[in-house]
Amino acid sequence: MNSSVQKAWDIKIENLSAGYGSKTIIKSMNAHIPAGKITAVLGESGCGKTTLLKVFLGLIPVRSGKFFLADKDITSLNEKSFRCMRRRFGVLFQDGALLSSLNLLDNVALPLKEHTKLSPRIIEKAVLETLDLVGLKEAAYRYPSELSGGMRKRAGLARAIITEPPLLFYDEPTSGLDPITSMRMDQLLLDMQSYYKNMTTVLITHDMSSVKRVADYILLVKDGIAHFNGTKEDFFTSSDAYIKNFLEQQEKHEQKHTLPDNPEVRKALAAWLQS
Amino acid sequence: MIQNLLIYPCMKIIDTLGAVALFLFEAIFATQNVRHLFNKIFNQVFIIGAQSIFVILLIGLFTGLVLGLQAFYAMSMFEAQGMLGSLISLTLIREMGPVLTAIMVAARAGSAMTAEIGVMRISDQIDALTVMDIHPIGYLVSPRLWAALISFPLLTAIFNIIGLIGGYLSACVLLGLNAGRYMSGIESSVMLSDVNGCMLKSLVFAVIVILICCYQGYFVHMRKDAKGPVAVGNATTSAVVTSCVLILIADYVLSSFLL
Repeated sequence: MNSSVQKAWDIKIENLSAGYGSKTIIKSMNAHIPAGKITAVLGESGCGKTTLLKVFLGLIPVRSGKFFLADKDITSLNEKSFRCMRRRFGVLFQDGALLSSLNLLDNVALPLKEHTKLSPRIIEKAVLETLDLVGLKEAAYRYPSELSGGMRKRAGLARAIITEPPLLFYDEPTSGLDPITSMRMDQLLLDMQSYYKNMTTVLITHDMSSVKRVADYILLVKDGIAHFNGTKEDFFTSSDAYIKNFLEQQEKHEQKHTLPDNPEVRKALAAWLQS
Repeated sequence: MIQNLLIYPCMKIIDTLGAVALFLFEAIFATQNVRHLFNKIFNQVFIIGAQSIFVILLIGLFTGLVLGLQAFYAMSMFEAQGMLGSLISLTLIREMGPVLTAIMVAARAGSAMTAEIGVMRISDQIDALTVMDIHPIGYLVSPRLWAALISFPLLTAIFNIIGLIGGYLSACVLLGLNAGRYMSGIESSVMLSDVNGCMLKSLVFAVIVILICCYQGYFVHMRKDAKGPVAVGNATTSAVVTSCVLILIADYVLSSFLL
């Protein structure tokens, strides 16, 4: 267990609104993401999960309301102070967002090279240790285009954790992965949480199996509003009609797919295959 | 009606010019915070400059050869072959050297720049840089700008020299003009002001090419004609075409001041 990390941070949102152009996506949202725990942000596609992540990261501005990080009002900070706070964020983007022109070693080393005066030897040692932690030490000199989707995500995670951030965001860490790689990714997430004891983790996902395995708290977003914000146990035992329906839909989605039946397309394809 | 035809397009042009100017200022001012700046500039000088040398040698040589050939027959009509050295050197140094070099670099390195930055934008790599508190314009644009300011004058000088050699091969070796007359024509007509003007043009063209190509890639997600990879393709085409048009416009404006 790593004891050198800083104090865990919590996130509080009060009447937060945000959006793109004339469209408001997050509508007066109130929520609390507790410190040192894994909180899964759930919701249907287009409900505002990614927009919420972008607000947290300062990639889109807050229109109204307040957003507190470790009891500090982020909306009242100037750009320089916010950038100082953001240095402590770790982010795993959906596809890893590794710089395609750099190999894994240079990608993971980037935050250390750009922000510290550590010698190249110390940086390389730290990077190789972090890559070892995510099981990618052997691939250190390979480029992102030479890696599988799961490896890119793990490399993105290595880059996110190399600065030992108190706040870690995961954007769809298991999307596009097969069930075994998904489970490995979840285990890695749990390992991170136990290794960096005081790390607060925000997990944006559609994968309910993953939520069941790793999350402590749930934030369910519905049409830009926090519909549920509480423990995983309360969420799965909730009698709320929307939550019940949401879980049922997810289970159906996980269990069975009904394939489309389109005779016209089938006939046209048959004709093409015989031609 | 007038609004749609005149006012809105003019406002859009002014808006874009303002955004491009701000982009340039940000690229210049972000330089002071770029870590390992010299390594990054050196790397870009290799990409923009060294990797363009072969194509510049090829284009410069054939431009000189064609100029020598055409000018020899044109001058023969007036028995003025002795002026060939002057004509080729002034044409190359004042106009063709800086313009063709800039157009070739825009097509080769500029298009690659737009595509690279555009792909970085659509795959969240620029957002990742922002979140890591690495200024994306400082990291991606500033080193390219300074590298282009170093590379363009050097490439233009190489183009001019190889063009003069091409002219010599065409006029003296192939068509039999006296080599001394060719050389004395160059020596008597090329002034220091011509060389200074040539270098000034190449610096202005360097700023135009880098600015347009990086801007198109950086804001590829704001394009209205397409999204994703198609937008990157459109941005690349647009960057090269806009760079070429602006190079020719800037060339006219600069020539009218320098002459």
